[in-house]
Amino acid sequence: MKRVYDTGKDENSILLKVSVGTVGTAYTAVYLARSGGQKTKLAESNADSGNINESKIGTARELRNAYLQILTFIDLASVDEKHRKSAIDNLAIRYFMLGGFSGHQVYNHDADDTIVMPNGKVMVTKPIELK
Amino acid sequence: MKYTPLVFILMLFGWQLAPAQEEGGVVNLKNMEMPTSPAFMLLDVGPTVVERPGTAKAFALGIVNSVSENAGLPQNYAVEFTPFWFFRHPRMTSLRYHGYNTVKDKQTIFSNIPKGSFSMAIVQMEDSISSVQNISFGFRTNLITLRRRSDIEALKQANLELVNQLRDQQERLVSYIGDLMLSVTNPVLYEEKVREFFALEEINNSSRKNQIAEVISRRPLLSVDMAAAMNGAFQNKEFSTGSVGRVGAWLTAHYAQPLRLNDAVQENYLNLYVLARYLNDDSKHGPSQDYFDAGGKIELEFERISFGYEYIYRSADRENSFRSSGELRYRISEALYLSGAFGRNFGDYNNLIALLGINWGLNSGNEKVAVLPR
Repeated sequence: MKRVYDTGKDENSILLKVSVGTVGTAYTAVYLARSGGQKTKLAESNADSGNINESKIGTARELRNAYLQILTFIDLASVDEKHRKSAIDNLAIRYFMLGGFSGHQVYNHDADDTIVMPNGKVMVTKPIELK
Repeated sequence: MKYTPLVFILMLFGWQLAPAQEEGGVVNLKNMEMPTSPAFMLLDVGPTVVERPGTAKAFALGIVNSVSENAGLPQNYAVEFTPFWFFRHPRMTSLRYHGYNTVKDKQTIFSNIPKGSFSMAIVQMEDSISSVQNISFGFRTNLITLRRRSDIEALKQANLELVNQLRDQQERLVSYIGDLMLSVTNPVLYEEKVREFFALEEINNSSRKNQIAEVISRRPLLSVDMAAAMNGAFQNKEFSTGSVGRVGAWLTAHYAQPLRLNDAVQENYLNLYVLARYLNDDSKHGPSQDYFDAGGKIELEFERISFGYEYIYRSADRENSFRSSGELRYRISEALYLSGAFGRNFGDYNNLIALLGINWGLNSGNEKVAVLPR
C-alpha cells in the first residue's frame, strides 16, 4: 500500500531508516523512482541485516514529486519449512521518515506489499510518495 | 532399489518376531531418549491427531473448536506449540536466529531457549468403576548450542555470500522490471513481472544452494537439551479428586567431536552423551515409582554405521540398579535403520537386552523394535 510523505520546504533534509525483523537473510535497497523509468539507488543494507541505518536521502527539493521504492528481499531457505509460513506472517518491517513537513512518520509493511515466492523467497515493495 | 531384498527379508523377520512378544517385550527406543513432546510421553499416549498451530490465531482457534466440539473440556486432545513463532521479533536477523550476535561479535549459546516448545494432552481413561481425566503439560528446549569456531566463520561467510546474491538478484530484477513506478501504476502487472523474473531465476540458478542451511545442519560441538512434564489426574470429573500423577524431567548433553578420516568430505563423529532423568509416578494405575537415572554413552559414528556403549545408573526407592548395553546401528537408507543392542537392563530379573529390528518410516519417534526371546 502506497504511503505519502510531505517533504515541505526546499532545504529540508529528508532522513530515512528501515528496520527489518526476520529470521531469514534479508537485503534492502531504497530507490528514488520517477515516471518514465528513471531510478537511482539511494541506500542499501549491509551484510549484518536487512536494516538501513538512519541516513539522509536528499533535500526536499531533490526528492519532491518522486517515489521512494523500498525493496526488501528475504531468503528463508535456512528456516525449517514448517516454520516458514509463521516467519512470513511475523515479518516486522518498519519504515521511518523524518525531516519533512510530515514530521516523524513510521510506516509498517502491508500485506499487499508482500510477494511470496516458492523455495522460501519473499519480496516486499513499499512505495512512498514524496510530495 | 538397491537394498530391496535385504529390506524385505528384514521386514519379514521383524514382523514374525513382533507378534510373538508380550506387550512388555516391545521396547520403544524413544523411552530411552528425551521425548520430543514430553506431555504425551508422560501419559504413555501416542495421539493420532496432534494440533501443531503455527500462529497464535490458529492456537486459539484450535482450543475454541475443541472445547465447542466437546461441549466443555475436551476428552482426548493433544496440542504442541512453539510460542516463538506466534510473535514478531522486530530485532531478529538471520545470524541472530542462528546463534550469532553481530553487535557483540560472538555466538550466543543460549539463543535457542526462547524457541522451546510446549505440549499439552488431555486423555480420558475409563474402566467399569470410574473414569480418570488425565491432563499433562510438558516443555522442551535446547539450553545450550555451542558451535565450533570454524562453523561460526562459515556461517558468517555463508550469510555474506547470500546477501551478495540477494543484492545481485535484486539489481537484475530492477533491470528486468524497467519502470519501478509499475508497483504504483499497475500493481497486478508488477507482481506478474516479479513472478516471471523469479521463475526465470529458478531455471537459471537452480543449482545455487543456501549455504547457511548446510552450516546449520552441522552437528554443534556441544548441545544441551532439557525437557520436563507433569500430569494431573481427576476422577469422575471432580476437581477435589485431583492429584499429581507423574512428573518427569530429562537433561541430555551431547558433545560431538568430528573425526576426519583420509580427508573424507563426509565427517564422522565421536559422540559423547551425558544424561540425567528423573521420573516420579504416583498414578493410580500401578505401584508408586520414584527413580533418578544418570549415565552416559560413547558412540563412534561413521557415514552409515555407528557403534555405541551406554551405562546408566538408576537410583530408585526400592533398589538401585544399572543398565549397561552396546548398540549398533546401520543406515540402510535415509529413513531406514537396522538397529541392534545387547546388554543388561535395569533390575535383577528379566533384564537381558537383546534387540534386533528396523527403525523405519519418518523417524517419528514411535518406531519400535522387538525383543528377541532368551
